[in-house]
This record gives sequence, structure tokens and C-alpha cells, in this order.
Amino acid sequence: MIIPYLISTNMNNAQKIIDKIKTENIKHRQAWIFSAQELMTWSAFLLFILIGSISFSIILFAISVSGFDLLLHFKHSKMESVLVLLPLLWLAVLIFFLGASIASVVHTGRAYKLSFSKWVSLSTGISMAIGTLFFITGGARWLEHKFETNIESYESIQEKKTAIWSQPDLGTLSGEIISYDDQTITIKDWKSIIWNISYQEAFIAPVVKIEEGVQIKLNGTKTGSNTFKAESIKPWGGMPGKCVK
Amino acid sequence: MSLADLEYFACLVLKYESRLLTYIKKISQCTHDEAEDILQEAFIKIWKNLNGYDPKLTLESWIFRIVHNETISFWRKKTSYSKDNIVRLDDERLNFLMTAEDVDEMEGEKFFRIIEEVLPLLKQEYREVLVLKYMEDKSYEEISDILKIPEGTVATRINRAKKSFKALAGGKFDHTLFN
Repeated sequence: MIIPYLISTNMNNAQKIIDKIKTENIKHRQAWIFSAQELMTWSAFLLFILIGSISFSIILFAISVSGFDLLLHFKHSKMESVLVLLPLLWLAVLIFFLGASIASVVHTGRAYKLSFSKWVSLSTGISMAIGTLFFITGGARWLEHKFETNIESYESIQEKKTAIWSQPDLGTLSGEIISYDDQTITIKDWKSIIWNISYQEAFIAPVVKIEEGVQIKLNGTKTGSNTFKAESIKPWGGMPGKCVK
Repeated sequence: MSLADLEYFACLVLKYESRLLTYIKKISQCTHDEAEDILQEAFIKIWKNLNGYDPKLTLESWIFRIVHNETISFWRKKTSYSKDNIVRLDDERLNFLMTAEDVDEMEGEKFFRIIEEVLPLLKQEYREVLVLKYMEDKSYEEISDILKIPEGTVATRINRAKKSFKALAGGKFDHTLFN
């Protein structure tokens, strides 16, 4: 027997430990507790990655809808313009859940085999890959629309886009063509204001058809209370714009 | 019969007890009594968590990891209560090094005495990798498993620890140490 042997050989330390286990009746933690902890940590990681991916896909959607070519025309600083264009809410969600996913995965059993920076890269990479896939398959557009229709205080990307492209003083204008001739296009903007656009020197994107009912967005300069000189004319793109009351 | 049986667990305690006591003392500067307390708590944890043992690790690495964590936890509590004492202790050790005699005279016991004196001066993270690598003769993979850091980080830390050690020891052991 080993325990009597411990006593007889005066192995005090070992004996103390064994005595403590016996007298306090210390039991093993159940195996399922460890499995459950590991499972929960990995599940949390996957969930956070998924939320991060969705955020990333909506950011992609916002970029595709708003069009970052606006940066070339904005008269504000580039940084300010980027901040206006980016969906900051979704950017914050993306950063938060990326952080949460990394914080959870580093607590899994063998996570220490990869360095922290590798986990950051891996989590970001996975989020971007899934997010891109979600965006390509139209998931981001669908989800954004759900948010828009179900959450009253939510400022949709479409609303944001409308606001960005309705600043004639800053060189942006958009709306629906109601009439046109060789020199002037007349549009009705989203607030139902009529604008006369001079467009002889403007770059017109090849996909734009100048005809009644077509929705367009313009860069240029405001020349009067309801007149605008266009530098470029592009299709409105994305979801059709709506008049705001 | 398995480790979950108390008698076999007792064998495990006996097998590792003295090595772990030395390890605790080397990385934490604690007294023998304190080291025994730490070890006891660590073995209780090992007993409790036997079902959580990951067979991908060697049992020894797993045991060292728990003992290491317990030691660090004890050391942090201790240093947060008595920072002034630690500084004073370090100053004494530094003085010893500054007045140490020429390297030719330092042989045998003195050689190890210097190691004993320099180790506590190192940062905790350097001390532990040096002890594991050169005193416990652990591989990078085992150190990685014990400290829960990537192997690349183990290598970096060992390099920095060696430089730091040599700087503190005044370059006296460059040719003999860390081979």
C-alpha cells in the first residue's frame, strides 16, 4: 500500500496533501464541466465572429451604396468626409465584436499556440470573408432593410446616402429627371424642389440615360437658388430614392 | 486503476514534489514554507481538475502549468502587499554582484551561487523561461505548454532573458552558461 508507505517514510508534504483531500473530501470536477466550458467559449467566439461578419457586410453595402468617389468632390477634409460616409454604428459593432471574439478565443484550451496578433488577423480575416460572402449574396441589403423598417430610430444607409447627396451648397445634388434638353436637365430632388441643371461640360457616366423618370446624382456647383452646374452625372444606383416630406 | 485513485495520486505527488518545490522557489523567491504551501494548493487543484487534463499535453507539462500559475498568483499577492521589501532585497543582491570577486576565482559553488543571486534580479518572465529551459531542461514546446505562450514567444523570451542575465552577471559567464 502506498499511503502507509508515505507515513512510514515521513513524506510530510505528500501526506499532508493526501490527508487534506481525504478529510475535506475534495472531489474531482466533473468532466462535462470542462467540455461545456470549452464548448461555450468556442460558441461565443463563433457567435461574435458572425455578428462581426454581418457588420462588415453592411459596411461593404454602405460603401457600395454611398460611393466613395464622393471623396474626390467633397470640399471638407478627407477625414471628415470618410467619417460622414462610413456607417459608424456598424463600424463600432464590428470593432466591438472582433475584440469580443478574440477575448473569448484566447481562453480556449490550445489558443496560446498562436500569438495574439495571429488571432487578431485570423478573426478579422474570417469576419471579412464571411461578411463579403454575405454582402455578395444580398444578405446585407436584406438585413439593412429589416433594420430600416423595424427600428424607428435607425438611420438607414439609404437615408444617409440621400442626406449626403442632397447638399447643393457642398456640391452634391440628386433626384429624378422630369425634363431635359440639350443644355439643361430639370430634376426634382427628394424634397420635391425643382432644380435646373446646366450639363454641357459635365462628365456623364455611360450607364446614365438622360430621360424622364431616371434617378441621378450629381457633383458640381450651386449657381443660384435653384440652379446647379454639373461636373459629373451618375446613376442614383442601389434602391430607388424617395421623396421626403 | 488511474490517477483519479488517491493512492496513485500520492505516487504522483511523491514523484514531482521535490522538483516542483525547487521550481517554485527559483521562480518566486519565496521561502521553503511558502513554497510548500503553494505546492499543496497546486496539488489540490491538480486533484480537483484531473478530468480537465488535456492528453495532448504531457502530464508533466500540465502539472508544471498548474504549479506555475499557483506560484505566480501567490507571488502577485505577496508583491502587491510588500513592494518595498522586494526593492530592498534586490538592492542587497545587486550589491553582492557589484562586489563579487574576479571570474577566475569563481568556480564550483560560487558559480552556482552567482546564478542563485542573479536569477531573482531578472524580470519574472525571464526568470521562469531560464529556469524551465536550463534547470528543468524543458523543450520550447513544453515551455510553451506550461506558460501558455506561443513557441516563438518562448524563443524570444529566452534570448532576452539570456542577455539580461549576462548583463546582470557582468559578462562573467558568457562562455559557460546557456550551452
